[in-house]
Amino acid sequence: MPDQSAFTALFPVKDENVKPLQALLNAVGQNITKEREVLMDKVEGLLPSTLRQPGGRCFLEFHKLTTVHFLRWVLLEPALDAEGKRIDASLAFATDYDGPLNAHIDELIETAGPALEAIFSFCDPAPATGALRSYLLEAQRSYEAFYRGHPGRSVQQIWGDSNNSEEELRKALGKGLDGSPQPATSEDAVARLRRAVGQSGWKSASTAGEPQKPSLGSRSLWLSVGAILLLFAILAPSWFLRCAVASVVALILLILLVGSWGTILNLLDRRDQTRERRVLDRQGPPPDPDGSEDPYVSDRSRRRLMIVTDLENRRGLIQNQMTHVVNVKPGKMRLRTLRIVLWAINFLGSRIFVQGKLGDIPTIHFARWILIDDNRRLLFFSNYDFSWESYLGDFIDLASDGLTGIWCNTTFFPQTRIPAWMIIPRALRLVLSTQSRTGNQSATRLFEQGARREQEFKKWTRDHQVPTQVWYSAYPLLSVVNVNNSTDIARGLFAPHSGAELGAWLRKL
Amino acid sequence: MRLSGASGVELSDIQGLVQRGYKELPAAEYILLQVTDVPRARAWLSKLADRIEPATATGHDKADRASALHLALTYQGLQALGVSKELLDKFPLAFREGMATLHRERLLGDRGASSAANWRWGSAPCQPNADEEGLCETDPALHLMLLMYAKDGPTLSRIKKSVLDELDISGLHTITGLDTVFLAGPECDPTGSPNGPKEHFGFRDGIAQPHIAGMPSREDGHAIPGNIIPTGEILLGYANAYGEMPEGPTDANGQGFGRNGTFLVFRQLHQDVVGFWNYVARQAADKGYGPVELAAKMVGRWPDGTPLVESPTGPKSTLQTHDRFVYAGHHSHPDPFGLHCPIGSHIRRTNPRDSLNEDPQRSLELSNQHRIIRRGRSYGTPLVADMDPTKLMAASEDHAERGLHFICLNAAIDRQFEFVQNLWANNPKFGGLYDDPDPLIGVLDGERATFTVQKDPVRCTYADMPRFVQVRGGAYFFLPGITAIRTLGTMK
Repeated sequence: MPDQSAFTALFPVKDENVKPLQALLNAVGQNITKEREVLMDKVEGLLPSTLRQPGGRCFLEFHKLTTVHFLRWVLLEPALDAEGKRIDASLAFATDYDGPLNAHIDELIETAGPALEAIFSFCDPAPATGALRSYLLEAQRSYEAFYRGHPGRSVQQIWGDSNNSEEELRKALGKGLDGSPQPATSEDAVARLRRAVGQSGWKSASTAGEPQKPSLGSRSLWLSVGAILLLFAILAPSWFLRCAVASVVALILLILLVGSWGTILNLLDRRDQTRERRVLDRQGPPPDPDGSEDPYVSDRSRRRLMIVTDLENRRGLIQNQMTHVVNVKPGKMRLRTLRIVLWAINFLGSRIFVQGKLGDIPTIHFARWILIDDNRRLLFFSNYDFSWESYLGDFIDLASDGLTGIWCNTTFFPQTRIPAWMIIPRALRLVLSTQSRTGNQSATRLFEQGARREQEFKKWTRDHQVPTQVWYSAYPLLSVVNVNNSTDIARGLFAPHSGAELGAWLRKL
Repeated sequence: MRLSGASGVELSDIQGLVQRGYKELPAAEYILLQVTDVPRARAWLSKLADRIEPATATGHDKADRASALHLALTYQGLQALGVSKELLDKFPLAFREGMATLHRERLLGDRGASSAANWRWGSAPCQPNADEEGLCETDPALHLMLLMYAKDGPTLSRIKKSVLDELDISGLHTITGLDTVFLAGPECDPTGSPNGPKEHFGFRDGIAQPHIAGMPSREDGHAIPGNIIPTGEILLGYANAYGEMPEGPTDANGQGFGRNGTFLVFRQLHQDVVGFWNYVARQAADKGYGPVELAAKMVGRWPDGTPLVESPTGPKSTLQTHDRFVYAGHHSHPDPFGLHCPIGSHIRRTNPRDSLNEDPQRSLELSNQHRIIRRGRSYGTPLVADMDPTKLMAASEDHAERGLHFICLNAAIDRQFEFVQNLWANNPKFGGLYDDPDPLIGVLDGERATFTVQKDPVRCTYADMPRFVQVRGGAYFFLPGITAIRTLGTMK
């Protein structure tokens, strides 16, 4: 099964190069044609004179990339950290890719080498001639958490003009169904669909692979654990009793540990908030090459917000992207908490949420969290379906605990009081209610405030969003639900079905 | 003294339009105004405030009511009347920016003939680099809208004259008047059916409305728990679905200029009635549905209003204004897969009720975070006088301008109106579909749209569905509380 991974690299940019690089990236990002390439004449004037290629038709041919799901360049402007110290500008380059990293980098260089060189020539240092490969790899940063909405599917499997993507298969099947007369029975429909596939020349029925299952929720695992415990209880009752007592003690210790940890965070929070204000009062807004006002405080900078919103809902796409950067609150305690929470999110994201939903959110293709600038800032990249408003709504309605858990460790986040002593009991209740699928899940939450302060949280998110100058999606017309549904269609096409299964499969078409 | 509802909702300060749509007052006109002389406009507002109809304690009107009057203002209108910058900055961004920014045009699908540059009235497109102040100023600038309702045409003319002349409107310039028409189909009681007349495509309109907590309504007897939304979902100054005060010029206790106000979204929607019925007649030929049946599948109700989920095989006169239903968890015909009422039908997408995700109860809660109160009226002569679908289908193109003056009320434009238009109506991926926008009001980017009808053993699709509705004008207004209108009148 192809493995999807995240590549992130950060490159320092000198102040005097910020403006010209921004201009070039804007030109690249705004001139991606329908054929998914960037023409030379749109960017020529913005390139350093040594790197201009006279007569070149194409600057960047995104459509030739076969390993890339999503790709972005974002310029992070100079800023101040939570303690008022300066952070220099940098360029972030990120891809969600298939297969081994080496092959991916090789393809990038082969397909877009001169363009990469031209863009990175604004960074400090610029890549040496012919050394792009090591240049990219040396700048790579590891993530704290990474999530995939349709794990195990390659770009080629999801989307492609050639006759082997699942989207092509779905279309071919649709055509088979659309002719008249309408199929009268399920068997009739299936026979017709199999015929249609034969005629369409669709090739790779076997690529779909087996569906991934949450690897902790497996019933047999829990049954065997239960059986072993039961065995112990029968064979060695006293030992079992000791074990039970030890578990209760451990649970109490855990509640105490998490409780005191949370209490300390609450105390720190009060101090941090006054400090955040003081730093702002003393330093004024962070430096901004545009001369516009600080976007980190309120929506005073309407202009910046318009740049961000104008990059959203582009024509011909149903997807959107987000780049979000925010200062981590000062102190080791905060950083440690953040790391633990992100580790947990990464764990859940790679083991439990492997069927298209993060928590209950069914619209995220890829998301990642990275600590940057010596752990002083948290960078978040996301490729999601539909509008920002719906994405944020899903965050708040379906995943506020995770978000609050992460971002309450960053500055200016809507006030969060951690219910320190209740975290573990509430978490247990949450797990139990999810397992049994009964009761009102919305009533059980770890945190009551934070991201649940709907309007404030949305404002805060906007305040810390950064324009993503260049953004490319390999399959801009497919939602996460579409991708996963099309895989189900491919998997079920030649599989034997019982009556009810057949009905369910036909409904996916 | 203020008249308050059961839960402290200040009825006597809330404009009555929030509570009721004046179906018994079939004549209506909307007048768009520009402030030209600020002191005189303020004096006029002071007098007007006394004539604005408040909400009532029962939701019923006086039996002899002959007219009603309401006032709404744009952001530019508030600016022109001298509202302080401090107060203005508290209004939500969507209202401040207006409907016609590049960002909102994309969200709402206002492109091509529907793009704001081609509107007959409303705000001009904003440029990303426009100055902080005076964004999107048009000439003439749209500042105020008067909404007038009357029991008949002569009464309406008299009201109009009295408001415009006797109140000395010389501080204001009339930009345009928007006429309306009451389309009573064969099933509708022409003297004022309580539950909605028809719209130009021939379907009964305006049936499903949420109940505002604490607001008495004459449909109270029919209110079901799943259809009651917190007061702050519509009115500023009260707690919303998240238990917070809606963004606006009120303090943490909900007091202040914004209290008892709401945001009024106005869109003039042109309807291509001939195009709609031609498409339906052409498509219906070979897939087993008659034209009216296919049209009903697209709408989710039969032309007389009967919901498909209740009665999939044909209309039932007892169910014409029926609204007490859900989809997935329906008590007698559960329809989680859209076999009765298609997933992509207009009424199922614009209010998905309990069918948004796998958990019906949670779905209902989430759907209710995006409700709007609809108060629109049709305009233009109907293609066929009695709105009979068969005759509509047979009628030939007359190129007349007709459509709907869509009006809705909500406290958070971005989370309610814009969300519904963008994520539920325009989104071709709604409910796991691939290329299906809302068949009536949706807009699909790029290629042409399809409509899918779920059925046994497998769905059928109707391809190449054109756009039947175009936007002719629009703006975001604030519909203030009556005290706030008085404040505007006396503002210095």
